[in-house]
Amino acid sequence: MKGDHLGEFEELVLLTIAVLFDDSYGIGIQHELKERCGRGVTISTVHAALYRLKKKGFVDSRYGEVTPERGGKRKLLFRVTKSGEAALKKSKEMRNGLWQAIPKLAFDN
Amino acid sequence: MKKELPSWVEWLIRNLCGSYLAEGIQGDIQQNFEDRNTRLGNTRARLWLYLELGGLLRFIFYKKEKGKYKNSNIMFKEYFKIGLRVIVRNKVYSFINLFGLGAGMACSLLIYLWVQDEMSFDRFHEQIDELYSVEFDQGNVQTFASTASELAPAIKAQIPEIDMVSRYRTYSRLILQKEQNIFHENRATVVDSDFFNMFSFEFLEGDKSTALDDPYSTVLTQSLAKKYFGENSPIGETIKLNNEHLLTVRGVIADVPVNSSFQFDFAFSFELLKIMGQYTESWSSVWLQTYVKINPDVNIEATAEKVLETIVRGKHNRWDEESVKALIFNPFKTKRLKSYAYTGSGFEQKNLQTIYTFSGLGLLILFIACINFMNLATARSAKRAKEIGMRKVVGAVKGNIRSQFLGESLLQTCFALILALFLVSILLGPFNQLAGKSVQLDQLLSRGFLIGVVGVTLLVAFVAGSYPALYLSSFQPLKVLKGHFRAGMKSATFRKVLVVVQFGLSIFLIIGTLVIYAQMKFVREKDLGYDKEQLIYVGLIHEDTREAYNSLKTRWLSNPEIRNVTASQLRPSRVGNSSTGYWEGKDPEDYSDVYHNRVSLDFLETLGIEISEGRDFSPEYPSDNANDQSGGFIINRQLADRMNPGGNAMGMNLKLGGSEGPVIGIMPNFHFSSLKVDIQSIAFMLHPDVKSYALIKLNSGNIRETITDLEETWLDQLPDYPFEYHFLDEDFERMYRSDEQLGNLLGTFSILAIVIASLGLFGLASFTAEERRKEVAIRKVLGASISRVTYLLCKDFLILVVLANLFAWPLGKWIMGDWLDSFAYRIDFGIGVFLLAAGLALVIALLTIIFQTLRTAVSNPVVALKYE
Repeated sequence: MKGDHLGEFEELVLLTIAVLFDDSYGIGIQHELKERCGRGVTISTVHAALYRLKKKGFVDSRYGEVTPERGGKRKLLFRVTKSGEAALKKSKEMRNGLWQAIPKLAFDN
Repeated sequence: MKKELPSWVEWLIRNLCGSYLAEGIQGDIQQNFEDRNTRLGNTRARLWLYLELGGLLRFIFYKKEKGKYKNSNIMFKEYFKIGLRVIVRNKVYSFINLFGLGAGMACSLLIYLWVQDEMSFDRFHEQIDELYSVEFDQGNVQTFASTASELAPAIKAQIPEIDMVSRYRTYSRLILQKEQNIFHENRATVVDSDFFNMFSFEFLEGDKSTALDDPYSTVLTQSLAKKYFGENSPIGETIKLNNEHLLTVRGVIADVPVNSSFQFDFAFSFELLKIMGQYTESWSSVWLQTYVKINPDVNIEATAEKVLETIVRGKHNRWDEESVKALIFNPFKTKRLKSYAYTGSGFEQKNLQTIYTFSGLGLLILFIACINFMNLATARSAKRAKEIGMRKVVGAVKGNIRSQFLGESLLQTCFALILALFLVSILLGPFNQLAGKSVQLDQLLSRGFLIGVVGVTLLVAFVAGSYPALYLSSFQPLKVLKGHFRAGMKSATFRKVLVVVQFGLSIFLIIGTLVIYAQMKFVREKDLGYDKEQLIYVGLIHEDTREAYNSLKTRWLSNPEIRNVTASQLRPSRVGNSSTGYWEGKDPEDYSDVYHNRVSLDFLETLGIEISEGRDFSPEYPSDNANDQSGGFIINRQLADRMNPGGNAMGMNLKLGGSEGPVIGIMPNFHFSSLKVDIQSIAFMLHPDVKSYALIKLNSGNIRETITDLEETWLDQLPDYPFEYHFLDEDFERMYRSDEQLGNLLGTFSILAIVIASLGLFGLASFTAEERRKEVAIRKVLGASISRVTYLLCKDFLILVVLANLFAWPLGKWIMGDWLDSFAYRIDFGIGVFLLAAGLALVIALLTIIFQTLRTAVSNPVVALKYE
């Protein structure tokens, strides 16, 4: 089903949101992706991914407080939803299952 | 480093990403931009910015998330319900709104029908884009649409660029006979054989391209054919014209549509006219119109120039460069709306201006009705302030309130529309009569009209609803709900301005009506310089009738009730023949024509024109008679002054219209055409052989009886010819018919406008009376008298009506002055008209509000105060 499939980049973004927890907004995510994963993407790519995640119901968004930074613009903050968490776990389990199924000989050298 | 983003960036993001995401994304982009500005410098930060904005373009394909209000469908149902309840609950206000809007819309729809009818004129001709009428530019505003008879044949022979040419002229007073059916026919047209190939009149029988090739042939309309031939096909049958020419019917066309400029019942050719001896073959006299059809790929201007240079110039001195500046092919499509046509009794300005005037009037009434709606809605906003506050508290935003009130206005407009359509169907008959139209009820179903209906409805709903919607949606919930907010008062100034506008427009319409009626009265009663009352004319159409004239005259005069009998070539009310006059010492710059009429003996006496110098025509001077190229002239003062400024023109030699002779008499100036034009030069020649009308002056005794006597004598002498008479003063009435119509229409409109405005005032007055109940009660408790309180309540409104005069007067002075300028002889209207209009408006306004006001003023203060 296309509706709740979690793409590779989407999975990274979703994980980053979870990592940043209370301060996960566009630029925070962008920087975290760059530092931890070495993925340099533009902010528009991040927002596009966020848009898709939100449509699938994996993240929730809310506006933060007004601060003098960013020209007075509020941050759009994201949080992983229950179904987002489930999707991450499912993906992790799937990978774990695959790892365990790999015969020892396969990565011999 | 802080750096603001340009505003278009924000705009772009908002439109790309929707209003919900926008702020967050704007913030992110701004933060990145600021960051890069410090690290990388402005240029590279900008490059990055564009890159990022480019990346956002993908959001075009994403569904926008606007806000959190997803229950709009439910709310619309709710608005509808509330809207209905509002209408039902306030019956008086709803009536005022519905009636006002309904009447206004009915009015504008009628005018729309009229304009549509007017614009649809002649559009049924398939080749209309290629048809032109030949006109001459005389170097002033007016073009001259009449041409000489020889122009069309010359164009046909010499100008290959022009496909087809036809001359056109209407004839009335012809006699048609088929066996025992013999009638006078007044709607004949004379054309050339190309006519039916150029203009699309539907041929039911016969071949349109050859129908008029033979001089003795004719084309009848369906109803005329039925009148003479019954149900049988008339093709190939013969019909007798004027008791002597036997014409073969070669074609039957469908009846000429009402919206055609050409109106006729049957057509025959100019060749026949020649045979009848009524054809003036000349280049100097202009007595018909010429139409041409030119292919779209031909250069119109160049062809016009060619026709002028190769054909027209030099044919006669009236076509010299001094008098005719250019030849114009006036597109037939717009001719009716734009031309000044020469109609024999002066230049009659055509319809475009009238269309504008009427459309303007329709919009004006509609606007006045819209103002009512705005006023009442804002005035009563206090009643709904709590509702709005409540809505806002539970989450409505401005947009919701706005759409609610626009929707309410649309709802009311729809109800008003039903009323308006009902009114239109009732009023169509009287309207047709008033406007001289024949708009049919089934035209209400046409597509154009439906578009008009929808257009008017939306326009009214928007105009009437927009201000209340904007105003009401801006209420602040906290203030409103606390109860300190007097919602109705805030918009009071605006309402006052609207009332002033309403009454100003109404007063203007009243002024207009008064001025038009006064001018019409002036025109009717003005001494024309001769006596047109109790003067009838009888057409002497046929040779037999002309021959019988002398014995008729003798027999008629034996009746003591008949004061005078004379004859003339042209009706005194329609002296349309003019030529260049020549006399010694004529100013070479003087190009204006001299009108002339060939008259019989006793002409001046019959018309009551007194000679001021010289003498009348007399049988004692045989040289007076203009039979053989010479004869005497009687001229008017205007011509006398032209011929010999400051001196005496008596005895001077005048050459005019084929005659030459001395001036034997001078008459005072009199109005022989419409009062819209200055008195022109006119000369009378004595020419008893040329006569087409007998003029009979009656005593004011029993006119009916006298006319019966006239008829008996006529029928005794000429049993084969019908006796048909007209009163001369009716001719004059006809000249001002369009002005009369304007007056009637304006009168109706001003009544309507003032009724609608008064309704609005009534609503407002009852509202304020209610608002100020407590104030009035306290005043009364403290000892104010009823009259004092009434004065207090009325004063505010009456001041507005008085203020309305401030702009109504200059407007009236300007526009009506302009209208009066279309008359060469006009009234001057002074302060009296203004005062009368203002007084009328004031009295009506007072009558409207006095009832509400008095009710408040006499009410028992206890009732109003007991709840405090």
